Amino acid sequence: MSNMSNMSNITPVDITVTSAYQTKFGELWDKSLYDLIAETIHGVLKNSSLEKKDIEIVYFANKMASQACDQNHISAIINQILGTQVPVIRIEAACASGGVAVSQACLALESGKYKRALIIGAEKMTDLPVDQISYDLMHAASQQERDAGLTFVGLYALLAKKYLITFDATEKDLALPSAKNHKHAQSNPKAQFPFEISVEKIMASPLVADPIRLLHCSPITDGAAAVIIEKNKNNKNKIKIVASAQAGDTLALSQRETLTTLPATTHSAQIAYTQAGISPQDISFAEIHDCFSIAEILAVEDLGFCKKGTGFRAMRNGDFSMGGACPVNISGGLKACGHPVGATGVKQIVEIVTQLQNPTHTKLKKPLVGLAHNIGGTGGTAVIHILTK
Amino acid sequence: MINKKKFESVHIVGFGGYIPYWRLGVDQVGSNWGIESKRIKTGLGVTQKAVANQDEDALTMAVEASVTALERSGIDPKKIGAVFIGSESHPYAVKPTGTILADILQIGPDYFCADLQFACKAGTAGLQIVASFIEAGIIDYGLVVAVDKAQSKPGDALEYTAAAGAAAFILGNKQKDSKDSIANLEYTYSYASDTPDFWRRPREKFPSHGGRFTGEPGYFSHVEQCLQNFFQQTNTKPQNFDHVIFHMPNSKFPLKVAKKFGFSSEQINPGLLVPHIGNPYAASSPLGLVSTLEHIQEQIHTQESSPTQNQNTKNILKDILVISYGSGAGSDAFWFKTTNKLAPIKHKKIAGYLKNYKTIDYLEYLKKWEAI
Amino acid sequence: MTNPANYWRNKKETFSHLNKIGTLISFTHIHNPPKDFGKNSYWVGIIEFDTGNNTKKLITGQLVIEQSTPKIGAQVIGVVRKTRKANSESVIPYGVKFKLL
Repeated sequence: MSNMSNMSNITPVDITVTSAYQTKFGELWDKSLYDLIAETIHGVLKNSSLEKKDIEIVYFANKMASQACDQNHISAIINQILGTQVPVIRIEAACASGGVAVSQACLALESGKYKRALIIGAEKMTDLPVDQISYDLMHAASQQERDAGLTFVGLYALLAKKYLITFDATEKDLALPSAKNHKHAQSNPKAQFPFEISVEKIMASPLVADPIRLLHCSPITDGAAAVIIEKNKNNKNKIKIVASAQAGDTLALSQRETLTTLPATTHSAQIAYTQAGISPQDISFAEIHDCFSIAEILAVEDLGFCKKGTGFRAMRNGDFSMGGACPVNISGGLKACGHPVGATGVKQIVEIVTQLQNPTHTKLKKPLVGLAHNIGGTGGTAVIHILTK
Repeated sequence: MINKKKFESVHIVGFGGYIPYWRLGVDQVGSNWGIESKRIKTGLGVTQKAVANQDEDALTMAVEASVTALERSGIDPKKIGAVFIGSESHPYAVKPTGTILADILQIGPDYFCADLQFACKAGTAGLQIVASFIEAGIIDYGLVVAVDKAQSKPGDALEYTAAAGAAAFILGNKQKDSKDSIANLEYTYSYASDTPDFWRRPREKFPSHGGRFTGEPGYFSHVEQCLQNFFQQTNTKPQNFDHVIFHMPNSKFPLKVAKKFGFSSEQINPGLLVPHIGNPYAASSPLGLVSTLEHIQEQIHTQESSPTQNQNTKNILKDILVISYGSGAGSDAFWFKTTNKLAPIKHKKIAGYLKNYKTIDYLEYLKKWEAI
Repeated sequence: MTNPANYWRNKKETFSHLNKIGTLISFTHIHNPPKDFGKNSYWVGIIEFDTGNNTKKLITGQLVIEQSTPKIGAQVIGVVRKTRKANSESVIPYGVKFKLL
């Protein structure tokens, strides 16, 4: 799977981000999927100087509207809200739906055929009972994994168990990303859980799939996020997307080359760094896909922020906390901000845009470069975006 | 009327049993209902029963026993021309267990198949059917399975003994190839009548029974009459047999028959599994036969590996009598003559299943048959 | 509900590891079963099989725990079991689970 022969096709990316918006993430009982999409469209337009008619094309990211809301063909709903007849493309790539939607939108603009695109990611999950959601989320795994009675927690638990034994990490190390992300989320008013949780409390939470505990897991969340991007000749002092890279891998964990790396991450990262002309050490801060805390530990290694097998040590060292070398998940990540599946990849862009506009932490490495890392399933899809100002 | 007919062609080339891992003690059942169980234990002659896991059923256990039998036979499954499974707990009321088993074992698609039901003698009826196919020369090999995951009404007397297990036999044609003979079939006979001693209507979850009516008019009259008629037809008597296996709803019934006819404990013991595993219904006497065959194989093995190898191995040739019983009611009789063949039966022996088990409590038992 | 066509089409693959012995390379204990897997916790693992010529195949499956507890490196054997709960109308979902030796 480490076929890099398409490296010669990598061309630079230069897209302006005009506007960004996300709803509050949480158990939003009084909001339907329609409400979330409508709020987001209204909000992202309000944050810009644009009107509905200025949008030329829309990419819509969503994983499970047909199971959770009995709704397909949401492209028509979006046209209904916009009052336009523009093309709307629905993207589904499990939890990477948002990132892939952003990536596809960038491609549309880079092609020259469109000047302005709207990307919306939205998910309404909480109407379903938890065991049903667990079952539906497994549509992003293989038939064999479903027949084995696995849940997504179980799949990542298989990775966690292998990681702990291979690199001599401890169960306490699994608690570190969660604790860090909750601490970060305190300053995010949109987060589902904007409060601290101690390492001790995380370690005392019930086992869901050994060794993963309840407080290692991102929650079930409703929410939506949107960005408007443009292809402009002059984007000096504007926020730019300078890399947009997607890579894939096998659906099933058992078909992977290794259980201690997600090759789709390393592959897409290599492309993204080449597009942007930078190295991992140039990244000032990142929004990383921490669906489970082990995923964040694997990602900081696979993204090249530290060597394979040392991610947990870097966590212990505080490298990825505010004040560290490269703060990860200033928004609170999937764990504390929440994980409305289709919205997450778009929200990561929103957060990076917010930080680039107004960095909450002045000690971030300059020049400010933000990286968004979005994963589908157990790594069947990975999408990376790099943004600068 | 049944003619006396000596089988010329049928032999057992493979056999195996499966007993699930879990045991529920008679004590546990008794204490759940607040009943003193010591008297029940001695009265029934049963200490505990084998309980299958929630994810097991008649098919899964049939696979276990059949895989063992196939391995021991060494034959290519594609050569099997018949699959008959006898059970009173077939997973489907309509859809054969036989085809599911055959497919899993890679038998077919050309084979005779039907599921059998005759309470606890459904499996032995299968032996008669497959033996007849082989004797007629229509097929060379056939698979017979006797299996049950028995259910009993909570609080009923049967709760102490209704158990789970499976036995599988691969029969072959010794005229075509006698080198794999473990035991030859000599004669078989059946005796039946409409006696409603124990029954289950389709929508009922548990069987019903006539209490003490299941004794004399049910079990004893059919088993004893079958035995007498068989002796008469084949001109034999108990002393002609080295081993006897009866259907074992408990220890008391078969031991009573054995005593009446003058069978010794040496004859009956190798197959008397019921004190340790209870009554796995259709698999009861078939598992007794598997256990007895393995017992004889041990003797052959001991003899062969003895430094002073006795050239005269005739004393290892054993005559086995099997009398099954199925409620409703009927009995099948079989006479098997073992050969000297040392079968490769290193693994999955009944002795192993009897030794390796775990005891559960009544609550766990309820979960295992999905009552809760 | 088990889809009959899907079950039938996948049979060869489903039962391909019956009676085969493999090595457990990772496992977990599922405490929160998804729909159709009952209420009791159970174990799931990734098992490595030798397919000859120095090649290996990995299979994901539920574990059957009787005598031994799971450990990475433990030997397991494929056995047929019902792989999920089925309502009284459904085609019964048989498959292979892996029993610890």
